[in-house]
Parts: sequence; C-alpha cells; structure tokens
Amino acid sequence: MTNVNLIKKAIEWGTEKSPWIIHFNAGACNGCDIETIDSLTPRYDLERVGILKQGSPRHADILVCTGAVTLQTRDRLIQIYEQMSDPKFVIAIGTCACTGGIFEDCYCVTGGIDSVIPVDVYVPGCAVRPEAIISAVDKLLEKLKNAEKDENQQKNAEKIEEKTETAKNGEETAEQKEEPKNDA
Amino acid sequence: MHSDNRITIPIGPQHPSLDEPGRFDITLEGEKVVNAVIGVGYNHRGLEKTCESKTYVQNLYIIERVCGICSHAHGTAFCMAIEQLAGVTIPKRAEYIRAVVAELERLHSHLLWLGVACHEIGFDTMFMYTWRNREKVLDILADLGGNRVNYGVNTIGGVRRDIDADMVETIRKALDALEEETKHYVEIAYTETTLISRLKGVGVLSHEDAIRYGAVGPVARAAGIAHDVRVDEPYGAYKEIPVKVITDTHADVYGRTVVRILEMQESINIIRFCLDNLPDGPLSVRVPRRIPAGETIIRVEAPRGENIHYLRSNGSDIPDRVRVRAPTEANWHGMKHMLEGGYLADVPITIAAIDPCYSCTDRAIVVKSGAKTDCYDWRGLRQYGIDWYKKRGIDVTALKV
Amino acid sequence: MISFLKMLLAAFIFPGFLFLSVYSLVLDFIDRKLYARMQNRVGPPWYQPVADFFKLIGKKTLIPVEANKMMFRIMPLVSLAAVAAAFLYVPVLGQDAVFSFDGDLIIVLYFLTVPPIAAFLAGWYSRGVYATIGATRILTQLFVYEVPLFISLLAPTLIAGTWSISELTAFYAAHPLYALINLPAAFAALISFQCKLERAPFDTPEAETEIVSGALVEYGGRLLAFFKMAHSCELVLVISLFSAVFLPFMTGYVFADFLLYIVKTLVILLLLTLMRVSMARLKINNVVSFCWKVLAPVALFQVVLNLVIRGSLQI
Repeated sequence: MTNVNLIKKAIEWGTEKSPWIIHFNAGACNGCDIETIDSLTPRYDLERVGILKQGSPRHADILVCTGAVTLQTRDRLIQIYEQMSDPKFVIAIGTCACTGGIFEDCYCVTGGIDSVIPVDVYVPGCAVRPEAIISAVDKLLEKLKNAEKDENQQKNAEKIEEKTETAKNGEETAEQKEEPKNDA
Repeated sequence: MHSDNRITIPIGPQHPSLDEPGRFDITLEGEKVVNAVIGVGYNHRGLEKTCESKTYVQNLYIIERVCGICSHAHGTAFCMAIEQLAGVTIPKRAEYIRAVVAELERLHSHLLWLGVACHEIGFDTMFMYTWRNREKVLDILADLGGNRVNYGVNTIGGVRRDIDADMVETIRKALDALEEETKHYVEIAYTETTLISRLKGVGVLSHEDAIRYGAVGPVARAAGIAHDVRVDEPYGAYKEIPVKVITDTHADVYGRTVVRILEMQESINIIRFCLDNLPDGPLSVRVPRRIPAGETIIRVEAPRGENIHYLRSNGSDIPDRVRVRAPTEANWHGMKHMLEGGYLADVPITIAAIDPCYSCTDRAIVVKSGAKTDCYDWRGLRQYGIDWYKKRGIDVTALKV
Repeated sequence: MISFLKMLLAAFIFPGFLFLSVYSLVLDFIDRKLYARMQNRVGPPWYQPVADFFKLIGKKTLIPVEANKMMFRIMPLVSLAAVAAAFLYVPVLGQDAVFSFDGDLIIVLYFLTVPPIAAFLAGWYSRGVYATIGATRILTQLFVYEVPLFISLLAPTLIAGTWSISELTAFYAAHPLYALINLPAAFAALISFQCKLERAPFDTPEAETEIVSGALVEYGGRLLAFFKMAHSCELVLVISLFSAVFLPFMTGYVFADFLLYIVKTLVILLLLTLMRVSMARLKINNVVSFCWKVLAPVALFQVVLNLVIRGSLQI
C-alpha cells in the first residue's frame, strides 16, 4: 500500500468516526428539534460515536435539518449548505422534512428538504424518536464507507446548481409574493 | 458593517443559541447593545389558512403541531372551543386527565427551558442533568399518550387514552424522584455564584413595563403580576384543583428562573391532587360532525403563558376561521426594551428567558376593509391603529411606531 | 556528530514534537472522557481525537473572499510552531529539558503569548463580524491574565535564584519543602492557565451561543485541524510547565521521573476539567474584574512573601 493510499484510508476512517453535525430548523414545529438535541443528552449520548454539535457550518460535515421548508428560510438553507466544505451530507428529520408532512399544500411551504438541497438520509416520524435518529446516523456512517462517495458529491453539486436555477426562474414568474418578514 | 464605532451583528436564522429560526440585528458599541431589531416570521407555515379547508378532526392534528413543546395546550384549547360551540360537556374524568397531561407538559417544558437556559450561559453540566431528568417525564407521557412529543391525548369530546391503576403507581414513583431533583435545582438557583452572576440584573422588565408591553406567563409573574389563567378564569378540572400562583419580585432573568423552578414543584403537587381525586366515568362523549354556527374565545394556561384560541364556525364541518394567539406573541413586544442597554453576552439568555417559541408566534394578520384585502406586518398594523384612533380625535402623540 | 543526531532525535521525536503530538491526543481524549463522565454520559472512544484530526485533514479548505489569504493560511502554523518550540524547554524526562539556559522561563512565557495572538490575527483577517468580536475578546482576556500569570510564574524563581526551568525544577526537587511556600502562586497560575487555554469558565472568546466560534468561525478543513492541534499541544505545554515549576517531586531515576511526570500531568488535568465542568461561562467584564481583583493581588502577595523569605533565610 503506497503512502498516499494509507493517508486516504486514514482520512476515510476519520470521516466515518468523527461526524460533526450542525442543526438547522427550516420551519418546523420544534418537536423534532428537541428530540435531535435530546440525542446528545445522557440517556442517548451521541458523542459515543464521535458526534459533536457545532455552531458554524464551516466546522460541520452533516447538516441535520428539520421542518417543512418555508419560503422565508429557503435562501438561508441553501447558503448554509454551500458554506459547508466537502465531503458533506444532509439528514432530513421528521415527516415534514421528508415530504412536507401535513403542511405540504400550505401557501408558503416549498415542501420537504429535498425540494431545495439534496438529501442523503430520510427519517420519518412525528416527532422522531432519538432511537430513530441514532439509526439514521448509523445508516449514514455506512454510506460514508461507500467508495462512490466522490461521484455522489459531483452529482450533488450538479443537482444543487440545477435547483438554484429553477428556483430563480420560479421567483420571476410566480404570482405569490414572499412574506416580507426579514425587515421588522 | 461598521459605522462610527458601531457594529451590527446578525444573530441570524441559523445560530447555535436558537433552536428555531428568528433574526436579531444587534447593533453594538463595544460590548453594549444600543439597538436591537427583531425579525420573526421564518416559521410561518400558513396553517391558519389550511385550517379553513379541512374538517375539525383533521384540524386537531394541525393545531397540535403549532408547537412541539406545548402541543397539548393548543390541542386542549381547540377542543374546548369546539365543545363549547357544539354545546357538549365532556366527562369529568376526561377533564382530570387533560389537567394531568397539561401539568406534565408544564413540567417537561420548564425542565427543557432550564437546560437550554444553562446551555446559553455556558453551563453545559446543568443542561445535561436537567434533560436527563426530563426523560422521566417523557417516559410517563409516552406511556400515557403513546408518543414522547406531540402526544395526541385529546380528541374532540374528551380524551383518547386512560390512566389505569398501574400507570398511577408509575407516575407517583416518577413524581417522587422528580421532587427530589427539583429541590436540588432550587438549591442551585439560590446558591451557585456563577449562575446567579450571569442571571441577576439581566433582561430587566419592571412591573410597569411588563403591564405596558402586555407580558404574560412566567415573564409577567417574575415582575410581580399575579396573572394565571388557571386561577383568573378556571377551565376544565381547574375549577376544582387548588392552584398557587407563583410570583417573584426580581423582574429579570433570575426571577423568571425562580418562578419556573417553583412552578415545577407546584405542577407536581397538582398532578398528585388529580391522581388522588380522579373521578370514574367515560372518557369522551360524541360530538356531532357539523358544529352549529357561532364564535368563541378560549384561554388556557400553556407553559409559556396565556394561550388564546378563537374559533368561528358556520354550521358545516369545516371551520370558518381559526386564530391562535400564542403566549410568546405577547412576550416579544418587551424584547427590544430588555435587550437594549445590556451586553452582547446577555443577548442569548435574555431571548431564551421569555421561552420563545417561534413556531407558536408566526401567524399573519389580515385586515379586510371593503373589497380590498391587505396584509399588515407589525409596524404597519401599529401605524394603522394609530391612524384609526387619530381620525376619531383621540390623542396619540405619546405613541410612536 | 552523534550528539547533533541525539539532539535532533530529542527535539523531533522524544521528548520533542512527536511525543508532544501523541501526548496531546491522549490528554485530549482523557479530558473529553472525564468531562462526559462527570456529566453522567459515556463519552467518546479512545481514538476520537485521532479521528477528528484525520477527518479535518480530508476536508476541502474554503477561504472567504474578503479574508486575507496569506494570514489566513499562516496563523495555524505559527501557533503550532510556537508551542512546539516552547515545549523543548520544559523538562519531561527527568529534570533536564532538551535545551535549557538561564532565562528560558521568560522565553517560554513569551512563546505562550503567541497562540492567542495568532488566533486574534486569524479572526481579525477573516473579516467577519463574529470573528472580529471573538478576536477582540481574545486580546482583552490576554491583557488581563498575562500579569498574574507572569508574576505567579516568576515568584518561585525568587527563592530558587535562577530563571532556567530545568534548574528551577532541580532546586525544588532538592528542597521540596520550599515548594509548599508557593501555594498561592500555584492557585493563581492554575486559574490564569485556564484563562489562557480559553476553557470554561473563561471561554468567552469562543462563546458558542453568542458569537458562534469566535475568531475561528470561518476556519474549516486542514487549517482548523492545525489550530485544534496547536490548542491540544498548548494544553500539554501548560500542564507540563505548571508541574515543572510547582510540583517538582523527583526521584533521580529517569524512567521513574517520566512516570511521575505522567501522573502529575493527569492530576493537573483532572483539576482543570473539574473547573470546566462545574462553572458557567463568565462575561468579559467579570473576567477582567476577577483577574485584577483576585488573581493579581494573590500573585503580588506571593512575590512579597518570597522576597521576605529569601531575605530572612539568606538563601
């Protein structure tokens, strides 16, 4: 095994053993958020598998997202995803994050998280139990071992470019205006 | 963004101190806050409009998910509104079970708040301990309702689930353990110096200011205002349960902490009273699908304060208008006053001290005048009100937008 | 030639840079495990700091457009270099350090001011709002704890009569009772070191719930890996310096002294972690007033006490 391969293997092992998360609520009722934070507390303790909750998107590998994406938070969600450096992954927690849930046809909801950014793991539930979150993390770590990781990153990058393009076009032709809530 | 020594920080929709998205533009001079602009509305999902196109039974699920932490309070208020319009009285056992779940919700919400507040001031150990104790309450709620969060115990006409003798024993044991731990928290709140130095004198909202800004819940009670819907206008089983209103005179974040910890003890007493006096009987009565036309306002005491639901029906099985005024909506108004004059380090704990629930808050206001429909934001609505009173010759020079 | 090679071996392998890095990973793990255990949790597995390092190395480096690229890239390495160089003057194997000369205590203290200043420059040149505030807080804290730190570390030298760390350790190892006199300075130094490492209750420069990550908010990937490595190495350096100046129990046998060194560092780490677990974060004005009103007087008292004792005992 050459030196470069050894370092690459070490990096892959490190990426699997040390997933740092950042949490963002894109319009949720808060139920899934408190269960997400609950999984860091003594009963479930996700630090056992190396998970740390970070504050800055630049420090994190996994974006843990809850809630049906509202029009107001869509741009911020895209910005956070772009600020994270590769390799990065997204977990959509809760039924609202998977498909939009009961708010799917509301007037200012775009839908689930995957209507905005590419998602790697979907966790249904209302609200999601911490055991389900642990299982989701486990599945994601399995996926991290995947050798086609680099190709997925490329596909993800293309998908998000596509989505931002359609979003921009959609804005110009849509009749509905966004609620002006950013300037109070 | 620099201008003559001032710097504006956006504590934006994504921030480690915020569980939910909200925006605060804090203008600093050094470390002192000189201006704060509060932006909410990121969590507006348009659920009130959705309620106008779904049946009452479907709407119960939507209204319960207005907020994940006080979901039972919203569900109770909604069911009470429907039951009042339909003219049915629910069985006594159902009322008592609703009260037990409401107090359990208050317990878990206050424990959650205590943990989050300690996390905001950097005291992660308390955060871990309080959330570990909160698991006991969540276990009881999971036994009772079937889910740890969003436990749908309510149904229109009563409750869905029963508390049997085994469950009563389990709840009593858990309450005894929780009572010990609450005594420990009281001790920490009164003696831990770093905690007290971070909380005293921070986010002050005096008695007069609390009345002026319309604060509700523990924020008002910490300023000495003894308002509690369970005592002022008892509903359901609270007409028979003795409730002590906890007030404090500190009128700052420390007062709110003390009020919430003592309310935890009071909740444990209330649950014990309910379990001792649980009446027998059915769990629910049948409510017709079509609710007679009418309108009603229901107030309940959610963990964060006074929660108001307005319901108007038109005789069909789909409501005409549902309006939710959550307690945090009333507490936001004093926030600018509480933030200005403080330090940057106090901003997260001041915001956390009113126990904000952004998803409760974000409702839109529509004002119909004639055929034109307008959508007003906070400032616009205030200006509208001021103009309206000015036209009628009332002196409004003291008010500013 | 042989001695030159021996010196290279000592400087880079043991007890030099390689030992410093490996021991920093060990102490980092023990710190996190103790912290988790005291909070009634389980905590990370033993290889966690290694995994963190490799994961950060493998991430793509993104530099913000407004940042000064050269300063952004250099600062982590400056921090690490200063800590690694300072470690060579602290005795690890027995009571002799790899290099020593009269006055190296001052040099080590100067090297120790480089990591906070490197973090300040990193935050300043990142040009973000949070980074600027974090950077300013680092400097404010630096100004207030440097005085008690310097004074309390120089107080023991008044009795020993030397400014070389190795000779200081040798002196106190020969006269252990004199080490008891330095207890107030040890107290002040321990708390000042907690300030320097920016750990709770003095972690306001990187207050996560206020300014996200402070000066390092825009860092990610390889550069963050080196900053974190510099921080862990700083922990080892600080603990080693404290044990060399204030806990100089030696047996004279090299291997036994090395084991004693491990034991001493673990005990001091336990004290630092206890401080971190049991207190809330202090505001910057509280830190300033605490350092000036409590730490500096204690350190000055120690200086006066040592001068009196030196004069009266004619050491």
